[in-house]
Amino acid sequence: MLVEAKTLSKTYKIGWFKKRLVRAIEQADISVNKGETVGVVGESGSGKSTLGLLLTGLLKPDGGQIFFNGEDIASLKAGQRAAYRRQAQIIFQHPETAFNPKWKLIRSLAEPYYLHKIPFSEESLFRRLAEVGLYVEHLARYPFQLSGGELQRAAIARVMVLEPEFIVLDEPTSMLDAITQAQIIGLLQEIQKEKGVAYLFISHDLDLAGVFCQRVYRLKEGKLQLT
Amino acid sequence: MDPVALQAKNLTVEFPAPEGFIRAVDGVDLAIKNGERMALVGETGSGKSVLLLALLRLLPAGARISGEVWYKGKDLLRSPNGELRRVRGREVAYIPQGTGGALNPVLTVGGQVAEPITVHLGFKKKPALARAISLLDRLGIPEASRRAFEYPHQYSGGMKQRVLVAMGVAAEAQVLLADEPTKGVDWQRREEILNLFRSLKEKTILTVTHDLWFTERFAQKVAVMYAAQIVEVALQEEFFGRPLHPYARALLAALPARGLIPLPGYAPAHASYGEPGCRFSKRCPHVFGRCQEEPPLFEQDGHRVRCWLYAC
Ligand SMILES: Nc1ncnc2c1ncn2[C@@H]1O[C@H](COP(=O)(O)OP(=O)(O)O)[C@@H](O)[C@H]1O
Ligand SMILES: Nc1ncnc2c1ncn2[C@@H]1O[C@H](COP(=O)(O)OP(=O)(O)O)[C@@H](O)[C@H]1O
Ligand code: SF4
Ligand SMILES: [Mg+2]
Ligand SMILES: [Mg+2]
Repeated sequence: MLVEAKTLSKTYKIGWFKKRLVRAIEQADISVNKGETVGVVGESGSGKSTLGLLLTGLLKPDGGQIFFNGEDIASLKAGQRAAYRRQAQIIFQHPETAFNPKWKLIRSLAEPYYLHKIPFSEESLFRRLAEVGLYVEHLARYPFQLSGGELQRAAIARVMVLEPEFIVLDEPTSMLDAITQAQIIGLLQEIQKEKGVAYLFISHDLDLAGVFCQRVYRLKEGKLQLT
Repeated sequence: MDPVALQAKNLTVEFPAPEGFIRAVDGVDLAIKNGERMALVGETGSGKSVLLLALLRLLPAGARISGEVWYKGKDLLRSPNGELRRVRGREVAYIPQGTGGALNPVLTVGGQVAEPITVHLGFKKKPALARAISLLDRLGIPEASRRAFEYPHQYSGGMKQRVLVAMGVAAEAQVLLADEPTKGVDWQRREEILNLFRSLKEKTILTVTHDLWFTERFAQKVAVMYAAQIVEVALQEEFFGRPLHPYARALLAALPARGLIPLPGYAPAHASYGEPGCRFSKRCPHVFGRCQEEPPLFEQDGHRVRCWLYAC
C-alpha cells in the first residue's frame, strides 16, 4: 500500500473569535495502492480539497494518521520528509494559481529542477514538454498568454519533472472542454502506465470518476464511503 | 428592425509574440440575431474569449485587430471611442468570467452594480443603489437589501456570477456577451446559472463556454471554433444530433457519458496557421487529398461547416 489514512480528521475554526467550527473531514479512512487510480467524489464543500491537501502534507490533520510507504508522515526525519515532499504531489483545479504570473513558462518549468536538485538539461525539459503536447513556442509565454488546457498540461509537466509516486488530482479538468478533458485523462493514464504513479482523482463528476478510476469513494459531510 | 443584432465580418486578432505575431482569431464571420441565444464552443486556446473581447474592442494594448463588427448600422471597430463607450454596457454588455478578479474586492457589491446605472442611465447614487438592490433580488441574491452592502469575498461562486450578470443587465443592455458563465462552478450552481440565463428572456445572448451540458440546455444555436476559425454553426438540435465537422463529432464523443473517447493530437501551433491545408487535418480521421487546401465555410440548409467532406 502506498498511501493509507486512518481516522483522519480536520476541523477549520472560522469567525472573528475562531469559535465556529467546520468539520471538513471526520474520521476518514482511505487507501491508495501503488499505481492505482482512486476516485473521491462529493458535492462542493464536502471536504474533497481538504482531503487532498492532508494527503500531500500541505495541511496538518487534527486527528488520525497518514502512512506513506508504511511510514507515519508525522514522524519522518528531515531527509525522509524532503523525499515525501517530492514523492507526493498535487495538481489543482485552477492551474493559473500554480504559476507565478510574472514568470515565463520556461522559468516555472525549470524551477523544480533547482528546488529539488535534479540535474537540469534542455533536453530533459523538452522531453517533459513534448510528453504533455506543448511546443517550444509556449516556453516564452507568460501564464496569461496560455489557455487553460495549455496551463494544466504545463502543470502536469512540472509535476512530472519530480517523478512522483503519488499525485492528487483536484478537479484537474473541470475547467476544460470535453476533448481536452478526455485527453488530459488519457495523458494521465499513459503516464501512469509508463511510470506506475498512483492517483487520487477528486471530482464532482460521477460519470468521469467511474470511467477513470478503479475504486471510487464518496465524500459526504466529511465522511468517506466506498461506492 | 434588423433581424441581425451583432455581426462580425472577417474579424482577425493578432498578438505580438517573440516569433512575430500570433493569430488568435482568424477571419471570423458570425452573426447573432435579435433575441437569439448562441453558444460559442471549442477547444481551450481556440480564440473564443479573444473573439468575445474583440467584438467590443476590449483587447489589451498591443493587439492588432482587423475586419468589421456591425451593430445597428455601425462598424464598432471604426466608431469613435466615445460612441463605443456608450454602446458598451448601455447596449451591449460584456460579462466576464466569474472566477478570478472580475469584481473589485474593495467595493461593496451593491456599489458595483449601481455604477453602470449612474454612468449610463444618469441616476443619482441613492436611487441607483435601490435599483441595484432590486436587480440583485430579482436575480436571486437572498436578502439583497442587506447583502448589497457586503463585499465580493463574502459571496459564493454562484452568487458572484449573479452579480456579474446583474452588472451586465443593470444599464438595460439588450445584447449580452458572457464568457464561460459556468466555469469552475459545481453541479448545483451550474443548474442555478442555467436558470438565471434562461430567465433573461428577451435578451440577445452570446456565451463562450466549454460546457456542453450548459450549451445543450441553454443555446438555440451553436458555433464551434477550432484553431482561431469558426468551423461549424448549427441549430442546437442539429449540433447535438447530427454534428457535421469531424472536430465537432470528436468533441461530443469525448463526453464521459458518450464514451470519453479522446481525440489524438493537439491543436496546431499558431506558427503553423500560415501553412496550406485544413487546420484539423493532422487529427482528422477522414482526411483525404483535398484537405491539403484550406476549406471554406460551406452552407447546407443554414448549417455551416468548414470541411471538404461537404463540398457539393
Ligand atoms: N482555509 C479554510 N478555512 C476555513 N474553512 C475552510 C477552509 N478551507 C475549506 N474550508 C471549509 O471546509 C469545508 C470543505 O471545503 P473543501 O475541502 O474546499 O471542499 P470541496 O473541495 O469538496 O469543495 C467547506 O465548508 C469550506 O468552506
Ligand atoms: N494577451 C494575449 N497575448 C498573447 N496571446 C494571447 C493573449 N490572450 C490570449 N492569447 C492567446 O490567444 C489564443 C486564444 O486564447 P483564448 O481566446 O483565451 O482561448 P479560449 O478559446 O480558451 O477562450 C491562446 O493561444 C492564447 O494563448
Ligand atoms: S477538410 Fe479534410 S481534414 Fe479538414 S475536417 Fe474536413 S475531412 Fe478532415
Ligand atoms: Mg475543492
Ligand atoms: Mg476562454
